[in-house]
Amino acid sequence: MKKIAYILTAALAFGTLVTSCDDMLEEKNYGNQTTADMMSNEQNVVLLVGQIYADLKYTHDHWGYWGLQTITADEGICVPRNSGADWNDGGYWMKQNTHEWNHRGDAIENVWNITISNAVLCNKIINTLQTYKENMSEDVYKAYLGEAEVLRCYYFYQLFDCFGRIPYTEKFEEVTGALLEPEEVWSNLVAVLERNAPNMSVVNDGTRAALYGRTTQGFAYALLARLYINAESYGCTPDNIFKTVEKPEAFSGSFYDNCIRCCDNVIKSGAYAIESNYFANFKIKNENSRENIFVIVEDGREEGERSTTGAHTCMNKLRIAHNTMHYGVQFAYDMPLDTWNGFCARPEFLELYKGNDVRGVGYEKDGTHNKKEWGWFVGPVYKKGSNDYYIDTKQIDDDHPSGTPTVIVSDIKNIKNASNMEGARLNKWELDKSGDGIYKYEENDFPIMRYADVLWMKEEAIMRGGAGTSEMGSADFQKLLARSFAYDKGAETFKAEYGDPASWTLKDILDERGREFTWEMVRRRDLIRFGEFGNIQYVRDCPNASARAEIRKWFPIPFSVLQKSLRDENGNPIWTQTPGYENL
Amino acid sequence: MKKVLAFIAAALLGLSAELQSYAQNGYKIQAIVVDDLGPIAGAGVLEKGTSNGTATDLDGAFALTVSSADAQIEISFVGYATLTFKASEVPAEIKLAEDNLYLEDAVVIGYGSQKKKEVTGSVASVKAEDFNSGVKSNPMGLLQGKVAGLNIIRTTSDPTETGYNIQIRGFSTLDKGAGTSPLFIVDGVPVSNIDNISPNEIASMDVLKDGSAAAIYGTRGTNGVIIITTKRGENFTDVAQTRVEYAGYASASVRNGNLGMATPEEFVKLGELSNGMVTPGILRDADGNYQLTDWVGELTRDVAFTHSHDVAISGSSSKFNYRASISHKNAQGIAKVTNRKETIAKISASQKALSDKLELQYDLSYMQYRNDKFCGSFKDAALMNPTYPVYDKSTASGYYLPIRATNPVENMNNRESYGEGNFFRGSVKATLTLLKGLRLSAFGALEDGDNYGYWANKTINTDVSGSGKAGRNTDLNRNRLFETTLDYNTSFNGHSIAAVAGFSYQNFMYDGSSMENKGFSTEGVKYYQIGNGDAEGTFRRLSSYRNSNTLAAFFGRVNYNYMEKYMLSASLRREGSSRFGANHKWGYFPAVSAGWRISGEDFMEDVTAVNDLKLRLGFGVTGNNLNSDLMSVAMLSNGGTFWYNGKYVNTYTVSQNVNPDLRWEKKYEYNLGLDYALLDNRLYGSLDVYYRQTRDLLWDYEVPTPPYQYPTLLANAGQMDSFGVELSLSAVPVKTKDFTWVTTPTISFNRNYITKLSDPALGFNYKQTTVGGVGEDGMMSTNTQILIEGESVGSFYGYKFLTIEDGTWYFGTPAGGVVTSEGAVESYRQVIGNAQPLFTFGWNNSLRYKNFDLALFFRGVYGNDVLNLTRWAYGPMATIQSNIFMKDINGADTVLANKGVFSDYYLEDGSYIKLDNLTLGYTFKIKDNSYVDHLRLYFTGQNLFTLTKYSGQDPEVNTTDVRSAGIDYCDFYPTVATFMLGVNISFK
Repeated sequence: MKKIAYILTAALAFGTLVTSCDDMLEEKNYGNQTTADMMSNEQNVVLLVGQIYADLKYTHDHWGYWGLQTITADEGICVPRNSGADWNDGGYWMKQNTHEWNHRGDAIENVWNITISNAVLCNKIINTLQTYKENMSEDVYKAYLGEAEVLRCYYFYQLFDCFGRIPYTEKFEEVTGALLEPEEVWSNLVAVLERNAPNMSVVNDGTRAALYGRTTQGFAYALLARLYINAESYGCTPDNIFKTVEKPEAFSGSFYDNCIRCCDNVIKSGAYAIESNYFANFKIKNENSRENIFVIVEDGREEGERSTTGAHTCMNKLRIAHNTMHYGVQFAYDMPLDTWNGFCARPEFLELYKGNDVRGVGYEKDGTHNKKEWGWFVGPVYKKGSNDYYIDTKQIDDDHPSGTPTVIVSDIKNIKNASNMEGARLNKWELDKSGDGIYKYEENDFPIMRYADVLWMKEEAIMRGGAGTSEMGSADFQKLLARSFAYDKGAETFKAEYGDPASWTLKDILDERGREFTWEMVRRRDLIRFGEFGNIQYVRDCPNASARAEIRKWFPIPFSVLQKSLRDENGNPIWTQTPGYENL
Repeated sequence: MKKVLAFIAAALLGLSAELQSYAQNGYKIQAIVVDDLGPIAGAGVLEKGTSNGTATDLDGAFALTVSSADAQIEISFVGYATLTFKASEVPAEIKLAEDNLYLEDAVVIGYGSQKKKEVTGSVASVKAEDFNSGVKSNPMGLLQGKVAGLNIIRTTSDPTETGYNIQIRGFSTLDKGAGTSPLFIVDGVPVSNIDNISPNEIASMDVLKDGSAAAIYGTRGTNGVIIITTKRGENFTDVAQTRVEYAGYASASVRNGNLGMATPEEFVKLGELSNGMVTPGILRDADGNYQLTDWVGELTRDVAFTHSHDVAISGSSSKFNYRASISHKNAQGIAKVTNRKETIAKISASQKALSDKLELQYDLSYMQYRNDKFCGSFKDAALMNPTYPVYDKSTASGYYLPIRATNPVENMNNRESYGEGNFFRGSVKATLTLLKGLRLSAFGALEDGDNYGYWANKTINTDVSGSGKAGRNTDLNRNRLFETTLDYNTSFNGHSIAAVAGFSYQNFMYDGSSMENKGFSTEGVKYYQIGNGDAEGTFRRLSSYRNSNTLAAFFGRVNYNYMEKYMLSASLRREGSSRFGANHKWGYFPAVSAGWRISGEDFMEDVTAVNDLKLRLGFGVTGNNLNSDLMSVAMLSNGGTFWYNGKYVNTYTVSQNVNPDLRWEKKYEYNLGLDYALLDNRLYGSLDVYYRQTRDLLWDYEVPTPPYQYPTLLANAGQMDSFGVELSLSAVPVKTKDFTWVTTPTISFNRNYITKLSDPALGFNYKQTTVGGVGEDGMMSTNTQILIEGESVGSFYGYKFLTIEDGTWYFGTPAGGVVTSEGAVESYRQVIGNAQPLFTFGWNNSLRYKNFDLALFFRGVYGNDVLNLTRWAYGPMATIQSNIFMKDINGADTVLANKGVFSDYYLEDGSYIKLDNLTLGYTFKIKDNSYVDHLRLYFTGQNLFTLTKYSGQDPEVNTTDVRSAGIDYCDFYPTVATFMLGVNISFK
């Protein structure tokens, strides 16, 4: 028996020895670093801070912010084709086209989830910068802090622009209470931008390359100008703003005065200029555009594909041209990724263009669309390197039992069941026709803010009563007019077609902004600002749109977001649905 | 014939089987061996401790000369209790009694074994002779349908996909972060891969179903434990013995099952077949002619052949035994190119030393395989317009190029992909007997698996983004185990105690790398010289990873019984995992079970109808580990690219919300069981009833942003309950000397409910989430199932279909209203079906007539719904270019697909019964003293027919996945029926 005791003790001792500490259960990380590892070296700080830009690329997806902006305005439409075999998506797009969306739309969920997550990420990075402040120089610290705060404002701006009431916060891992009302969010955004703008990096020829694709002073002021000019459309009044946040020192006078002040700060910086060719801003290699104030730098290679999970995947790659172009375009240029024959122009939107406006439809007048650049594409799609029409075998009828020669037309007869050929396709983003297969997606950098927008905001603000001097006499402004009729007599033709802007009404500015900023994510807000959102002149085939317009200025908060809201003591969600959407 | 066989044996193995003949001047005995029905032919007669023996002839008679009148004579026959006599006392007629249903058989229970009659947990033990016959891609195929409550599903006939979907007693985890596979123990080693075991080399498989049995495996016990014991040399014998065995088969497979798609002939006639509602897009050439292409047929072989060979040699002596085997299999898939070759070599040996106080056991096995993968897509082929030609001389590749699709034949022919690998497993166990009944063991094992993958696409391929690319990857899996156990067995005055205590340490390491490139000078460069392609780096990809995890545990168990009437078992495991947060690394997993063998009581002595009756009751707690590493810590990973000073740099991000409080999922399970044998053992089996509850379910809980950065957090909160009944029954309706029929139905019922999916205290308010995502051309990606408190996993969630009138679909609302497609708003969705069968059954029939044996094995499920996604997504449309599913084409009653609305119209009854296996065998009568010991030829037909109302290819879809149970996705691999001829032969 004694022997047994010895053995048992020995066995036990052995076992205990092997596990005397938890060391062996510690996870080995094999090269996976922690934030502390990364922040220990100033050189590496940018590799952490840089992530705040990485997911900005979700912005321009059709299942993301861009998609929501574009087809709910009059500039775009997404019609089911092939008897609903393509672009039906369970009726989702039709509900967007006809202003009948509800709170379960995928894009609505994507926009909420992506932008709020990006805003929280900015807060996390700001928090990290503060934690490791000692590891870097004061200049580096301040520059990154400002960059992150301004980009956070842009993410919150996207969310706020869509939903109005949002869980705005500037602290990381802070449990927020009820959703902030639009005017409170607006006040916060303006306060943070005004505080940061004067200290932000300024673009000049020496810094242009280094600051490319990053937030700068120019962008901060331009975003402020956009917030000011739209303030009233968000429900802001001089009496309801800056209640919970201190009024910025720079803020004085009316919203329009402030808009003009901010535009002037951009103009005076001398950093930006209007490109004499409209399409220079949208080329595959558009990084030299002096007009683009803030762009999303695209990586068109297959690498680094990231998608949201969920019913529909929103992707971090630019694919607008792939989305809009007819199937045959892929084969014409040996593009690696197929083209989807999706988004196109509402026919009524094209009526805004007159004459040979390069931003408009070219082909129908002279058949030279493939010789010159035009904003919208209609006309035949050819086979690769040939003058034969591409045969669309999905488009069959009694006359064409094996397929139809592809000729795109701008009219859409029935928006509930369009043919493959109907609807003009946006062509202002240069297509990669090289056929070398290096860029699967589009490599053109996507402009979020252009100098042209600053100029037009200023003119509009003046027209709306703001104090300032018109830029219409400036060389830049003249270029704006001239380039629109580059194939004619320039500014002279512009004035002949649209009248002299010096004598324009507000409505003329709305029309011009529509022509100039097509599919650049400003049209929906412009229509709301001008009181035209939901106007059936703008969204034909949606007879009830006007009646719902007031509610639909905001998108509904996604069902899933409300479901996971924190609860009050009675178990009720503290985040509530936007009024009007409760039963939709 | 005998000479030929002997020659083969000698030639194959380089040895001649020579047996000594004793008995020249000894004591002569002779007798007849009989049972209730008459003489037994072939019963073994052996002088104990020698190899001197014989077998009875057709009249049951034998004569044998033994060494002396005192020699011990052993009379044995399979299925009968062995009798032993002193030579001088051998009666003239020896009556053998059937042994009592293997009650004495050993059942492996983990860290030990028990006699079947002493087992108190719910354990099913299946011996080699009861395994399924036929071509099996891995050992789980041998068990399919055999064990009540063990659900084994194979949804492909592709031999390069070796896995089965396995589930014991239904869902007990939500499969998000936690593991779902049962734990496999192979000869004592917990492993993650059982492909490297030849089915012929398995002696038994034991399935620990309930918590009380599985709790000894702690954190990995929740999904059940399957213990595989491979064959070893025979028990130590006083006289050296040698045996050589060969098992081989050749099989041929052909396609069976109807895809449900339009045939080419139907496609061109769709207009008339649908009463004009469907206009097919017929591609005509200039002369108006069109093709009739069977696209799926273009991708398949007419017949796929498989052959397999297994040669084993085993032997034993008083101090040493061994078994060595080589298995080779070459399996073709029905899809062109598909092929798997595998060779497995295995050696096991045991040696006694130190006056038999020390026993050493060695096991070494090695596998080499090659998988040639199918590179096409059957879904693409099934949907391809049958009037399209395969080839087109005018294109660069020579293949016809359909719009917005790739040519499936081109896709298959211009791409290649294959995998190779090798796998080593070695273990050594030393057992030292310290005192009588007290043994100390040390066990060490190493597994090392390398897998290599290679792929290359020809430049001519029209898939521009993939063309000209090649890649290769390497993965290494290493598993190291060290265990030490102390076990003690004793019995006194009818009390019997078996106790074991031990410590276990196991470390898994995964490591791999992959690379790809394009731009090679010739097609021949492929994956051989990746560096010689594109130098700029545009298409060069490099990646690698390594991670590891460790489990450590202390465990102990005591089994007690009194007179084999009252049994008690208790175990405890304390286990820690590196994967959990610092405060939750360790957990306790206790179990207790008891048994009462009622038939052993005195008052049962007169109840002759009852041969055996045992009641079992058990309770156990098992855990579920996370199945990925680094989930509870904030590690940085690639955060996407960022444009910095004129170039892209990779940023770093913490890519998930981090939960330092992650802990074990725990399952609490009660099991009540009854083992019975009645009516002269003509009716026997067992009945189990269980209730199990999983707490702290791991799930990606939806959390608000802010405060969280990401929308979900992996955390423990939910709870799931399930209960079930399992019945296995064997009946022997006929039993005569020449003819026996044993019929064995098994049936199992399982129900589960998610009782909690939220925890407001932790901030998880999400009470439901939709899963079962599907997405196909032209339809909205839709989640078709819901996980919601109060419902079971696998609940289909959509609209209730009512009727179609004049082309308008009508649906019912939960409140009893009626709406059309347009009015079908979200809140009208409801639970419209369930993917879980009401019950699952297997039915084996084993018949023996003289030397013939016949097995008929049916299995199936009843009462489940299957979502026929192909029918929904590719049903009739007004004008169509691609091929369509035919079910809804019905003349004037043709129903056009409603792609936008998911309703129970597209749910079908998934009940089926399959003739899984039919085997007819013939065992030759072998004369005693011939070299050949045993010879059996057999024919097996597999998957011969399926009775079902389901309109797709095969109703046997995966029902074990929490997020996609019962969804018949559009991707498929054609089903086959297999016909095989096999032989088993052994020499002595």
